[in-house]
Amino acid sequence: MNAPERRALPRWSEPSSAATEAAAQEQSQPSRLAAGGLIDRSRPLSFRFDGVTLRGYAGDTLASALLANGVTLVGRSFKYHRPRGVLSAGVEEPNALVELRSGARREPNTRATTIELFDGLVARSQNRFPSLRFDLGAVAGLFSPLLAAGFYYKTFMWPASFWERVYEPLIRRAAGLGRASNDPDPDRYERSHLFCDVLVIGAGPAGLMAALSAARSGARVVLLEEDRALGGRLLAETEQVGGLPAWAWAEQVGAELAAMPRVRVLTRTSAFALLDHGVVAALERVSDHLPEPPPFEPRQRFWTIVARSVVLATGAIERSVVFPGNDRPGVMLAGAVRSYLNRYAVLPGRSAVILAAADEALRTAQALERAGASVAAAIVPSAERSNPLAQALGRLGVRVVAGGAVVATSGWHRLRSVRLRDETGRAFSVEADLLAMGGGWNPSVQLACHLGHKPRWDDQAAAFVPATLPPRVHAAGAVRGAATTHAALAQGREAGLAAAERAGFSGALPELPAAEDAPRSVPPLFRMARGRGKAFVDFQHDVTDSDIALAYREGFRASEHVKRYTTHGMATDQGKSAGVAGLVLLAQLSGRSIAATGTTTARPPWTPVTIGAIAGPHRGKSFRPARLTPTHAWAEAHGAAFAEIGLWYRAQWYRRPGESGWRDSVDREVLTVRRAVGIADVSTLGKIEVVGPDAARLLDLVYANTMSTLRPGRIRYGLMLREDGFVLDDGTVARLAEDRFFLTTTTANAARVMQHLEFCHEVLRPELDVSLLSVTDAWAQLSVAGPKARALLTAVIDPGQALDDRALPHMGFAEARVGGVSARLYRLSFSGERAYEIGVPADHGEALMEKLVALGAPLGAAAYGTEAIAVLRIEKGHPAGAELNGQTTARDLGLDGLIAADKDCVGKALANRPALIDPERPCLVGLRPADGRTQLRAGAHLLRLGAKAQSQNDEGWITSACFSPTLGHPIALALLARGRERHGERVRVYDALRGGDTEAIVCPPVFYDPEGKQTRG
Amino acid sequence: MAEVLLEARSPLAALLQSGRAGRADGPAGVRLRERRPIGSAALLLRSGGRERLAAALRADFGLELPVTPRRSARASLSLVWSGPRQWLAFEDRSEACPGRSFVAGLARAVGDAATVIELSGARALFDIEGPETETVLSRIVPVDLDSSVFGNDAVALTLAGHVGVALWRRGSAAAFTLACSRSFAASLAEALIEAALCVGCEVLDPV
Repeated sequence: MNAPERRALPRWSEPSSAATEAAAQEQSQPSRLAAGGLIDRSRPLSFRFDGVTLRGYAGDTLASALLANGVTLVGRSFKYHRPRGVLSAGVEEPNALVELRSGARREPNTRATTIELFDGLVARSQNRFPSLRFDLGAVAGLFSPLLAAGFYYKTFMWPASFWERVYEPLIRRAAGLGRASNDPDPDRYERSHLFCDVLVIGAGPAGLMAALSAARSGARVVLLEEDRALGGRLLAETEQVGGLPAWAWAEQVGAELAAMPRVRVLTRTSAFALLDHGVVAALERVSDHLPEPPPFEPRQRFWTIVARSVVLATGAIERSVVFPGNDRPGVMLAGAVRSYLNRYAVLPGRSAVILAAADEALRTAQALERAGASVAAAIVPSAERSNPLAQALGRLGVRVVAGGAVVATSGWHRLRSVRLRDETGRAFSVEADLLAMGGGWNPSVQLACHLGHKPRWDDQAAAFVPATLPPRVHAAGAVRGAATTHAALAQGREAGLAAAERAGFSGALPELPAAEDAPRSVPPLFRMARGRGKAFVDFQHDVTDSDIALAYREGFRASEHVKRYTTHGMATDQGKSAGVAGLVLLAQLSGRSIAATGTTTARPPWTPVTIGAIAGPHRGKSFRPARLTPTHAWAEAHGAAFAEIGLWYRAQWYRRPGESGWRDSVDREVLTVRRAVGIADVSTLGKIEVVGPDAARLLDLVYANTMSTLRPGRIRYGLMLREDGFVLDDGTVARLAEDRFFLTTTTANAARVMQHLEFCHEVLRPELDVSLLSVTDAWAQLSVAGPKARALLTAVIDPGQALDDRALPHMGFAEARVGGVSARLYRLSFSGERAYEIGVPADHGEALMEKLVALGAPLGAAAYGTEAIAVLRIEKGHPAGAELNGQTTARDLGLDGLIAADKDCVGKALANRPALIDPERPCLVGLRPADGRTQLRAGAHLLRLGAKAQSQNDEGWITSACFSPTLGHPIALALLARGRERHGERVRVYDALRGGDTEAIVCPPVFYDPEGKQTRG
Repeated sequence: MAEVLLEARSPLAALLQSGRAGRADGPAGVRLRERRPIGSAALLLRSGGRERLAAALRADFGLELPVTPRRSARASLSLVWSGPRQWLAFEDRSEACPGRSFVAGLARAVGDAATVIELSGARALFDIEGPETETVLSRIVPVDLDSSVFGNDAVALTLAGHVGVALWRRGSAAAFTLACSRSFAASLAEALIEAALCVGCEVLDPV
């Protein structure tokens, strides 16, 4: 492509126009230069902004296309609703925030300067009503003295009740800029991992050389670039590198890197966080530049990159300048003006004033003149009056005002004139529709600071540069303060090789291509005089220099405090272009140097990251994995409603046709177990094999009761305590052989108990010869419970194993076969009826369930779920999760008799602490409603009759409650202070949360078959 | 020998139906199938048994005991390191006689050098291979699988998405096996297919 030519005034009767379409394009883009730029004029695009159809080209951003169409008003500021235009050409944009797309994909606050234009793009301006040109919100500007920084700390005080009902909702509605969509996001997002030896962040001149250096040494290299094309600042200037136009050199290096098999180049990818251990988080905008993601492609991808070394080549961002009226549409960063001219072939204005250091001013003036604009005046620092660059400016026909200042600007929807003052104090106005300001360049050091390394102020560079770097991180180029392309290239190739060497590779430095190396001016830190109009420091949050002064007057000195009080630097641009200006003001006010004032802490993310990308595929049900039991499919097919218990899906009940509510199903299932036989899937309970000559000794340590005396073929209930004396879990222990035990735990504590056992073995008793293995998923475990349980079992078990009470007594274990498959039989009961559990290898669980249900049909058998299990065990008073909540002791639950007197165990000593044996502690009781029918609810509190409902009168609470179909009335288990002495007493049951207040009678915590005759049969 | 009348069913039968998922044009980026060993067991080292265990495995099965995260395989038997003093042993369907009790044979061979616990059906295994295997796995596995660091028969105990897995490279190819606890099988299958949609996933019959 050619360099931009001197542009003639638009004449669309030019006979040399190729096609009507091209002419129409030119006519519709009045500010597009006739030739040049890195856009693709063979691919015209059409888009809509605020309902108006406009034209652009492939390669445009939304901002460049808007400017090409002469659209300079793009938004309204946050607080004062001032008209705003495009300030920059990159991620630092604070003004041109638009709402993009529509429907479920609508996204607010996107920067028009980074949105790649695509055909059919729809965008709307934000924060204005009824329209961008005429916004009622601008009236807020009249109240600006009342809306200064921190105004909400001093206003909206009275009346106090109004805050919650009136003020806060109003402020909330006024806050924010754009509207998010409330619809579910239709796009996919991905997460992925990438490993490499050298990660280079930034593909400008420094980054490209670093990548080349490292790649040629044979290292695995990943190069990240935020833009869609490689080159960084080279794409915005008209210089030459290695004898080629800079952008062409960048392309050439990109091609070489793309051809290397161990190199990965990711464009449209921002590194947004530097984390510990060489981990970098990056966001790839895979499909943001397309109307829709292609089938199966994600919208965005979150990369977790692990690198042995990192090279930061993140470049620098230009600073804005603080002067009155610096926020009007048409005031832009000087470097951005050159980007629009050189890269996008767009003329941002026809008559310009420049406010920058001499070298920056000269480059900008030359670019403008080449494009056919005129430069009315250029303000350079006083010290550069005799600088040859300033003189070159003069020779271009520009009026050079050394040591001058801007005192005001005018123009509401667009800049119209600039009022200047020269060093002698003489003021004069200049007509201009563009003001290009350049306050120097800020190295983008943020990533280097994420791990707590603060940058230092360098007076020579007049910028914050990296001071110390995290281990294995190198910096190269403008981010280190390098001022010329040549310096960036040189630093880049050295950093790349150093990074590769740190990762264990060696190589040679690649050749250094020729590049510009002109001496640079010291960037100015303009101290603009006070003039007419607001001088903005932070554009996005409407923070002015008087806000900074106000914060200082109110006693804030630290930069962090001033930031938070004024909200300067807290918007989506995070002070990228304006941060230092605020610090300079604070330094001036407090009489300190900038180095002493310091800068605020930079934290991730570098640019905003969508929540969708962080979630990746873990959305909706995929938020966490689901654990399914072996009979899950069978349960689904038979009317099961599932409860999520941790990760498990367990059938709560099995609804039969005709049953309308869950109580119908649960009551039926409970009665089936009490009268016939029920079958339940209890596979989710933790199962652990403990094997070895010292297995019994380990179990004696972890259980409160004694397991070493358990005979093979027998089962014992086991109570496990925590080290601090509270109950950890309960379950059963079956001794399969002299050196082999099979433990069960509650579902919720399976992993915790396994960890506890491993800790006790590895740390407390490493000398024991014992192995532990979690086998929860190895076995499908089905409970067969009810008076007819033995009949069903006999039908199911293969002949060869006797099932009478002598061969298999209560709490006995036997091995058997079912359908030729080896099975384990346990006789134990949680329901209080005669019950067995059958364990078969998990793959056979579903077939076993089918077989049991089929063979049980003539016996009246039915499957039962977790709700029925709960009712049955509450009727029997067995503690479960609600009672074993980590705050109860064995004594509370009436199980202290299980703690063996003649041996030590985990938790034994601390279980005898005075607070844990205090007779006032709530202990387990049963409750029945005094009126025989009012429902009792778990969580309700217990009070003495007549006591006031206050927490100091609280005497306990209900842990588990249900309706008992067996007894025909509600029952509950509760913890009540001195409960054992209070059987027969009436207590008040107070449920403030759900509005319940009733009376109940305390009774022993077992409602059905207290002597346990049913289990023994 | 009693006939096995109580059917064994894999948790993946309904989920991993053979066919193409995701991008339909061109060859599939990965091929996915369930692996169903006819026998699997856990091997837990007993105190002081390391040398005897290694000798027994070498003598009876020609298998080397992996002492680092590796897999050793010979004929239809493989041994996968799965933690300090722990291994998973698999016998694949192949020339092996269907009636042989793999676990009993293993228990006899190792004697008291280690404990053998049968684990048939306790793990779901997925075989994944194809040109885009490493790309697909890198979406859900946070381990460097590049052949320069994760070589032949290397093993990792890690996460795939949110599911704990043992993962190994089968030989030198871009072919991996992932093993997870049975109850997580459906979630892992979904995570693998989701990660493979954009390269095209061919689901094959179980092996």
